[in-house]
Amino acid sequence: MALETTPTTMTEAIPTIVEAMLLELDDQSIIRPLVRNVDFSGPGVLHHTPFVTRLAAETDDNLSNQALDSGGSDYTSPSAATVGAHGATVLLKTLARMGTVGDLAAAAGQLIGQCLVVQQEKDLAGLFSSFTPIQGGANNDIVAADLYAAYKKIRQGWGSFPYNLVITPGQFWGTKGIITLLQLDATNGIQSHGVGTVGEDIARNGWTGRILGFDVYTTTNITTTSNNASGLAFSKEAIKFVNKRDVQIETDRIIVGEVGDQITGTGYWGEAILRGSQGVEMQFNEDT
Amino acid sequence: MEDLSKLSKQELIDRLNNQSVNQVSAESEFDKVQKLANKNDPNAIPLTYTSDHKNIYLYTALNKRIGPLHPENAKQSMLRFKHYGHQLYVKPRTEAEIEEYKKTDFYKKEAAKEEQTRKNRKSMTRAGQMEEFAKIISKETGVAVVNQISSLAVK
Repeated sequence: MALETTPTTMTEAIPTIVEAMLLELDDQSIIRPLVRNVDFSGPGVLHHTPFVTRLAAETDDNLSNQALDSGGSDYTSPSAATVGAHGATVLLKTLARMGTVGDLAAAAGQLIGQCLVVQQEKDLAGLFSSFTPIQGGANNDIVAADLYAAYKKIRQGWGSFPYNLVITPGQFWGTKGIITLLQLDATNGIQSHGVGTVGEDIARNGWTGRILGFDVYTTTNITTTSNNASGLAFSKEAIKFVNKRDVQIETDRIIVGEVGDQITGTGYWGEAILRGSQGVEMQFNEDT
Repeated sequence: MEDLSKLSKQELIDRLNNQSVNQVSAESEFDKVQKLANKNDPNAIPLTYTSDHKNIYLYTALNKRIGPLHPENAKQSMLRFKHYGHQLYVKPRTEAEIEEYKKTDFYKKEAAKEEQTRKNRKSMTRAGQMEEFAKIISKETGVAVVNQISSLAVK
C-alpha cells in the first residue's frame, strides 16, 4: 500500500524534509547573515580569536620620543566561542501521516528548520545586552542623538561599513519607536520630509531600510521586558557565529509508546562577541 | 408523556435540581474523557528542542537582565563588565539590594551623568524650535511676532 510508512519510505522523504528545512533557515535568518560567520569544521570545540594591540600616535612630541606608541588592547579577553549541540525532533505519527492529504514530511522539515533558526537568532540576540557600550536605558525613549552617538562609537572602534541596526518591531513602529522621529511635526528629532527623503519613504511604505547611516532590520527574537528591549547597532566584526557543522537530518522508527518516525535535525554552533567596541546596545522603550 | 402541569411548585424545583446535578456530573465526566484523550492526540505533531547546555540570564545591580547567554559567554560577560566597574549577578536583585546600590557614590555619579546626557539629547530635537525662533525675532525687532510665525508654520 502506498501510504505504509517503512524505513525505506522515510529515507526517500529526507530530501523533501531537508529542502523545507533549508528554506526556513534561509528565510528567517536575520541576524546571522549580518555577523562574521566562521567555518569551524576542523578539530576543537572552542574557537579563539586573538587580538593584536594597535599602535597609536605618540602623544608626547618631544624629538627624543618614538613616533608611535603601542596602545593597550581595546578588549579585556580574547574572543572565545564554545560550540554547543542543538537538536529539534519531530515525531511524525504514522496515523497522522496516513490521515493527511498533504505532505507531512515537508511540514516536519519546516518545523525543524523554524526551531533551529529561531534558536540561532535567539543565541545571537542574547549577546546584544552583553555589549558594554550602551545607548538608552530601562525607561528611555529613543532620540536621533542616540543614533548619532552609536555611529560615533562604532567609528571610534574602527568598525567597517556597513553599519547595521537590529531592533524589535516595537522599537521601530511603536508609539516611542524610530518611526516617530520622522513625523511631520515639531516634537521629534529629525524632520525629514519632502521628495526623496527618509520621511517620504516611511509615509509611502511604512518602512525605511536605512536611517542615519544604519541599515535597519527588525526581529521578534529579541526579548522584550516591560515594553523595553535591547537591540544592537553594530559592524560585521562585532559578533562571530562559529559553525561546526551544518544542520543534518536523521530518522528513527519509533514503535514503543507512539508509532511513527522520529525525525531529528541537529546543528552544532557557537557565538561570541568578537570586537566589543564595534557594537552598541540600543536599549529603548517600545510602547507606552 | 407525563403532564408536568400537575406537579406542585416544589416538586418541579426538585425535578429541575436533580436534572442539573446530573447534567453537571455528565459534563464533568465528558471533560475527563476529553482530557485523557488529548494525551494521545493522533493529529498532533510534537516538536521537541534539546541542547547540550542551558543558557543563563545575568543581572546587573539595577536588575537589568542580560542574555540569555551560553555559560562560557556568561563568564566572559562577567569579566567584561567587571573591567568597567560593574558586577553582574546570577540571581535577580531584591528591592533592598537595589536600594542599597543606589546609595553608592558610583551609582550617583553614573546616574547624574546619564541624566545630563538624556537632557542634552532631548534638547537636540526640534521640539519647541518654532517658539524659540519667534522669541529671537521678537527680541531682534522689538515686536511681538509669535502669532505671525505660527501662521507661517501652518502654511
